[in-house]
Amino acid sequence: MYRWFQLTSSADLDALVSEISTEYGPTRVIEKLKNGLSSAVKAILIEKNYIDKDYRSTYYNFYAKKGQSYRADCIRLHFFDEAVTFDAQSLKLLGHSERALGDHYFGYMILRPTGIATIGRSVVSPDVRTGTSGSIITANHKVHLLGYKLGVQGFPSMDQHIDISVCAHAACWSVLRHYSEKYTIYREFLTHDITLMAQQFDPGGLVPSKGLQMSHAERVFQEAGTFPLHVVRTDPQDEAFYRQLHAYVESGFPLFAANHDVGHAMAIVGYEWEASNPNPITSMRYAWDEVKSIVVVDDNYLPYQTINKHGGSPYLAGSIDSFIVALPEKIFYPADAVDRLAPTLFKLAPLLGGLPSRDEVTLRYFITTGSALRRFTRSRESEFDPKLIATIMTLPLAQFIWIVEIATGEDWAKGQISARAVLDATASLREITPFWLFHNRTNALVFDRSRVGAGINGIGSLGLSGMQNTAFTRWDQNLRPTQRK
Amino acid sequence: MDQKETKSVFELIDGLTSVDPQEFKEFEKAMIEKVIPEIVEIIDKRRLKATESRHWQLKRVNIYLTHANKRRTVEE
Repeated sequence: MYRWFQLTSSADLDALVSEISTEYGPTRVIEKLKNGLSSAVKAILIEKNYIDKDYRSTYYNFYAKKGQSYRADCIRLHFFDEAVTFDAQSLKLLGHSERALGDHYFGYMILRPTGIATIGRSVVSPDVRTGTSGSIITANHKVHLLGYKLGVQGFPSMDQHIDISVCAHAACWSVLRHYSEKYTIYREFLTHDITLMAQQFDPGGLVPSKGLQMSHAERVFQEAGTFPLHVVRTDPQDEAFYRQLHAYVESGFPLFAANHDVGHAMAIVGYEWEASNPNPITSMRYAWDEVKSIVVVDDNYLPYQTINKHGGSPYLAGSIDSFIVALPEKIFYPADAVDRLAPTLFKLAPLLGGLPSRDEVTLRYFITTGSALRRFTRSRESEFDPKLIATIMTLPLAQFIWIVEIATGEDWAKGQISARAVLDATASLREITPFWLFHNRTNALVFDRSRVGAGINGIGSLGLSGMQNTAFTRWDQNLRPTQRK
Repeated sequence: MDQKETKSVFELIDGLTSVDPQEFKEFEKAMIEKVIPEIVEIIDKRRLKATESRHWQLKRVNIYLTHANKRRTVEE
């Protein structure tokens, strides 16, 4: 039932073919592992007869109804580094305490007995994915193995089944499984649930393989209790589309993304910044302009496939032409509004005693919560005037807020900013001042949103001191930086 | 009733001063004449595009064959 498989090089993976029977598609799995897993993985524990809830949901509702007999159980592969060994006699993992084992565990991959497209539910650490770098949206996934409780930080992935689910189902499943692991308010949906949620009625086993429409994906997210926002590129030069795509990912929302030319869907789960540009900024830039590549969970590859903005394979970030972001309720002010509003913030410069020139900065915007702003401020008390801290703690912030950060080229290189605006994510599109707060190092504008139509009387100015020489840190919070192993 | 609850936000924050309406005018004008109409326009445009794209089919299937670098794409 358990077999320990030591690796000295990726060539050793070929021997897995003798351990895994053909219905689990070992040849293709080995090929993928050889191309996608780093040499930090030094051992694989093969767990046979594993009962996988996602495969079982499709087995009970589809495979068991077929003339061809399918097994009901799966194989689970667990990935470890060289610090862990296995005693086959006592069935114990050796080398570390249970608590420390997690530091040497890189996740798991389930193999389904379906002959084709056999890679099922998997959570693998991005740290051991070759070619992956940058920051990635992850959650902690608990793993029960041999009486140990292990954990892995990662994003869920699986191959499409082909016959009952396609790429779009797999992408919906990945996003929703991340939500159910990360946020307690979302329940878990199994593969078969996703195929049913896409339709108004039970389409039967084979209908989903005909494909999924964007409207079906939207319906899946709506059925799951989220509030999906469907954003489509207006034309190939629509840079605002990519700026907001990046903003939502920065905010910690994995995106269901589509390339309609090839009819393909994937989940966008991360990005990597360009190396700092030594040349000074000569015209206003956005955070998207500083991005080198995005990271996707695409069912054709192992998870965390890097997709470049410029040049490279398998496709370019610019080929993505629509996405769905599964938002929580109460985000009424869309990214398009923030994108248009942000450059206008410079017209408030006289009230703040000055801002850098518009042509010398990078603008970055993302969504977070009011409580996260307070936590961030509290954790960096030394960066702020106590009056500003008291203001942030006092303002009756809505649950969700947009943050706009203004950074000069010099700031950006140091991971700092020159000014930060806090917008109300529940604001209406036609509001003139959808703000809570806008401040630089010397002044803050505070907005009273307790009265409608307060106008100029609803804006207060607060002089700040002691911040001229402190760090004014760029706020990176939602994504996990990859630590390549 | 607790008196603190009746205080406005501005009364709870020490050191706030009023702002010069003249210095706010340029921002207000830009919002009314340019930014808000642009926001409304792009939101409408995206809504229309979203409606058009709802029937896009997503069904690509890639199957890696057993040999390295040999890939077959099956499109139903």
